[in-house]
Amino acid sequence: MNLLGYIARRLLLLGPMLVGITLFSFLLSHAVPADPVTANLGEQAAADPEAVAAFRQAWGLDRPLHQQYLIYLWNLARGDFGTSISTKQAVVLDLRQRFPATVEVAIVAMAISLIVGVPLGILSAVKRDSLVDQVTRVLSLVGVSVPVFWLGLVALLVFYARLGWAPSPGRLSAGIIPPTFVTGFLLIDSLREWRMDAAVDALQHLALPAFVLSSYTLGMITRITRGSLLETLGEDYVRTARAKGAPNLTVIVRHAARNGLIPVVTMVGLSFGRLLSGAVVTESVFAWPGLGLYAFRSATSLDFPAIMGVGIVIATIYILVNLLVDIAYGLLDPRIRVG
Amino acid sequence: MRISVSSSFPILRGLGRWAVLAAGLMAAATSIVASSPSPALAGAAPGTTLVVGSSFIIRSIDPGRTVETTSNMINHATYDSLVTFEGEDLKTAKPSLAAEWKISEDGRTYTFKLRPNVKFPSGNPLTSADFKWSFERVKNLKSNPAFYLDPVQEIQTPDPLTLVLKLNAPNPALLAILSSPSLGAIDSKLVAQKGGVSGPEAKSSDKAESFLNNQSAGTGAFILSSYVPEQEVVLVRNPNHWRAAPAVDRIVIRNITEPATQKLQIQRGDIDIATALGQDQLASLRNVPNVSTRSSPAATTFYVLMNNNPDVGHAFSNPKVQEAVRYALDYDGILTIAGTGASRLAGVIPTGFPGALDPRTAFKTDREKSKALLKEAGLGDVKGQITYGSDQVIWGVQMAVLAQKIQADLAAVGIQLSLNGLPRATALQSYRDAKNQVGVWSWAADFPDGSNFFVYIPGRTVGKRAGWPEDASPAAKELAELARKAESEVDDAKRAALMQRIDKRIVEVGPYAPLFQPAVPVAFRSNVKGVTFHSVWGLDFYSISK
Amino acid sequence: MALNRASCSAEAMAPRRSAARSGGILRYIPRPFRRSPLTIVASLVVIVWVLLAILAPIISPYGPLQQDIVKRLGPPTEAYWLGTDVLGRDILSRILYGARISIPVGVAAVILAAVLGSIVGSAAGFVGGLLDELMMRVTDVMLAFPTVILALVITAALGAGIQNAVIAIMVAWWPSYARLVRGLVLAIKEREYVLVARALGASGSRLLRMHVLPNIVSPIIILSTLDVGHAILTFASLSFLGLGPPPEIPEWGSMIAAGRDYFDQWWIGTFPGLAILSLTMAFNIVGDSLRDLLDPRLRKL
Repeated sequence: MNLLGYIARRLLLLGPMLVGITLFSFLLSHAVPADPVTANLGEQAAADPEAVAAFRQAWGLDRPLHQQYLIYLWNLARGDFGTSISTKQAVVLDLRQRFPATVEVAIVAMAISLIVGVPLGILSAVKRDSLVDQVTRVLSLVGVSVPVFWLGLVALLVFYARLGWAPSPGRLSAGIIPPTFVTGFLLIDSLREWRMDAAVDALQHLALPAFVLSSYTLGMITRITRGSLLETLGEDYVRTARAKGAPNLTVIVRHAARNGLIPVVTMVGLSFGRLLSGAVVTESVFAWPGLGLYAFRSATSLDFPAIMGVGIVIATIYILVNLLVDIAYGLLDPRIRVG
Repeated sequence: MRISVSSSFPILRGLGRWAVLAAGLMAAATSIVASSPSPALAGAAPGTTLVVGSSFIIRSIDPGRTVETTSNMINHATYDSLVTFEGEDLKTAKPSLAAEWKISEDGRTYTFKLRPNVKFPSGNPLTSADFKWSFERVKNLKSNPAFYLDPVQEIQTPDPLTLVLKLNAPNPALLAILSSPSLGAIDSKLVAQKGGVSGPEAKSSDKAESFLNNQSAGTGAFILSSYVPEQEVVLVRNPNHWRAAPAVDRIVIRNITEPATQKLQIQRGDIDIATALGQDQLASLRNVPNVSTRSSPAATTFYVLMNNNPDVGHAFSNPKVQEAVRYALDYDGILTIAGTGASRLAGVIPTGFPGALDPRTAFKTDREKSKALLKEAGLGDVKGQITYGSDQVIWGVQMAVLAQKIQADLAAVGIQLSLNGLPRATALQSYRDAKNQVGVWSWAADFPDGSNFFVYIPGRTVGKRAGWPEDASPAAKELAELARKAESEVDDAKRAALMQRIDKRIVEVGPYAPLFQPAVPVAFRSNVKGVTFHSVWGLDFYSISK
Repeated sequence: MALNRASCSAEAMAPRRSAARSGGILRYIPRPFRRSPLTIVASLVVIVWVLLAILAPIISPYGPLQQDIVKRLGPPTEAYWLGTDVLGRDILSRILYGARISIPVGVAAVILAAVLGSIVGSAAGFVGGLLDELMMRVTDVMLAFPTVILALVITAALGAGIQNAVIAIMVAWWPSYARLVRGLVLAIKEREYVLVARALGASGSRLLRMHVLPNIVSPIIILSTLDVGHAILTFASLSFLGLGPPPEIPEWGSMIAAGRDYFDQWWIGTFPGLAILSLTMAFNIVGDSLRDLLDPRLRKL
């Protein structure tokens, strides 16, 4: 089956899948036993039936469940995710404000994983069983085994509390005036205005959370690269190239890397999900105002529109990333074009 | 023959080259990233900025819809009410927008003379019509502060500078109620243009909330400049305020959810005032140079609630068991958790309010007595479940820690409690539905008056949640009667005496075990002056200077 | 089919050196174990933890719930080797008792997910057709949610507690096992000996029992072992967020959460984390070796 047909088919499936996701989110969030009324009205107001009724009416909570779902879908089709019961803003706006924070730290984490992980993996494979290899293997093992939230706490303890190297948790220091919100990505927005002070400050604040978040993917990518490279280095065509006298580096880059990197590409896609999962706890530890923290707070304060909004957005991103990975996978290795 | 670098330095051969290059890049990147963070005020606005650390409890900043602590703090700065209280005082009302007032003989008519020449930021002048509009809006929105105006029957505006309130019955707490930031004067003309409605249809047609969440419309010393939900609130000085200018030009209130982070920030000087520290964090700040701490008594009582309704409370509806619980608790240990400045409670009314009992007369731990009482009750092994907000931290006290302590204390006399910690929303639901078998909760005064704590009376809010209706027993009926009497008693001394009697009785026969009254943990840099923490609205930004 | 194995067992993707090894050599003193001291150490660590968990009531200096308010927030001393927490409880004892929760939970969650997933996956792969399509779509939707977020919403809905957390992990993970097993079953279905057996008239259930099942058992076991560490981590994360057992229970994740507010009393949060780290690493190493030993084919998954 050709690539275009493959993509087309996957995109077509996207629609029903999204509907499935909305249904799933809706059912899940409404399975919660408590009432958003409680979460959002003060002591005295909650005791007053008129106040409660007013609240329910205002948020559409007095309608039957299936009606609520259909209304929600209808609004969704028009791009309206409803209004968050906690922040009183449109959920779309909430998501728009928080989405860049999560993506920014996830991208930096992914970048760290790739920039450090791939060369390290390569080095480790080429210098197999040397000291470098042994240390790398242990460190990458630690990376995939360490609880992210604990690493975050220890990192804060050491680098923030004790050494004072890292700035306080958050995206920017208190005294810095944030750049105008254009994309929401602090690095881009501050560079747009040539605000080097804001850019450097944002980078400093990104360092620790991104590093902590990258621990798992860094470890994994190092391991995969190493293993995959070892495998390909043993393959026939590589040995042939070597026998022909091609220098080591050329062998690696031209022959081994392309095939050896296939699993790495898949790994990038899979680890994205892991990054999003890790974002919930990392953002919690670093008080990072992103989607993860939003998801957690909405789940515990029973903010239905918010829960559903976050769930849908995250699931959609994930599906899209997987689709991209599958396409890349298909491009890299025509043998693997399974439907 | 050229001597290549790579032969002199073997590590530079082959892949080593790339490793070294990568290491170099990493080092460079790390040094940029790890260079000391920018000093706190680089790129800051001109003038004095006060940075306040808080843990946001904001559901709305619209005065007509809020009673939460953080919103109150903001609105106290941006709106002015008829009267106010100075510093942490809870007893003597001082003039604010009302220059003077008169109370009629029968206590049912209050006449306020408003201050002349006060203007809103929009330029509109303040008139009594603004107060009437604001009050009616609060009443008709049927939201959180609506109950404040229950005692008020009629609002009259005979002339633009006179406001008359007619009450259903005399209410000595009225001035205290009127000081609330939710009852501040709103610029009615401006807000009406933005969708504000004060009439009876307000609850469905008022659309001014999002406007008021982003911009204040009051006469206060500060104006709301920006609000980013869950992140920060910025206030700037109001240049046309009717009093002399405040010492601070700009206030940034940051949401710092982690008490440990807040503690570090105040230590480092990243923030000027920390209002959301844990009790333990405050304790460790006492000896830090340049930081001052303050423990102002909070108008909040912490208590254990047991359900008097046999269907819900089971063993805990038995009065002997209830008393056994009161004797089993290790109050000294609990006080340690409550932090510095916390005091024991002999009754349910906190110290500082008329009607409060001397803490020295409070229950003393007596495990033997407790076991004897349990035996008398004859119920065999008492088991139960204690409900609380698992993520709730109130005045720096973690409810989860408190619940575990209570669990251990009761286990020492043979009562097995399992912990039922729920996220705040769910826990509150159970509590308000009177479904807690046992619970540990707190009650904060909505306004500075002892009658606030009548909620514990059978049949009233907390009484209902404890399954304690008026007709539960003759003692309950008697208490309810006493409460009604105290509420209409105009003479202060008599009222105080009545409230004391009630307070004592509640603890004797009620399904409660009062634990403590905490102190509000506030820390501030030593160069900040004028920091006080009022029970209802927290910091008074007008009186703070740096 | 895209390789949507959304769990950490991408370690399965890390191939080892392709020695000319004839598949399936089962030595009883396994070479990977012999060759690598790391694996020996890791296996010992797992064994030691299991022993500590079993013996905790005997060797702990204090009870896990034993409070001594006066000694709260105390540093590591002779009396309390790892310090005390916010209620004066001994951290060492709580860590030992914590193993009694983390290990069984990790194992149970994985077993449940694997069993459920395998049943659904083999049914779908074997029967094919509409059932297969349906399962694929359902798992697609479920796999679209990153694990922790799915588990988060489930536990928020069901309420906190060990049972619900295990259920949440099971619900979040079975789809990946189902997909995996389906793939394996599909591959086996087309093998010659199966086709022959079918042609000879063997019944569906006989085929399943005799040919399919034995071949999927060993990959599942390997990946389950690799997943135990991950399960322990996920459970600790849920606990950290407050969605696990009640706070008096000495669960490592919630112990770390309790340490968040106390940077000065670093021992509260640090030691439980080291416990999780050591156990997870050990399981991962053992799982890796088990994979190399039992089924090198997994490299190509």
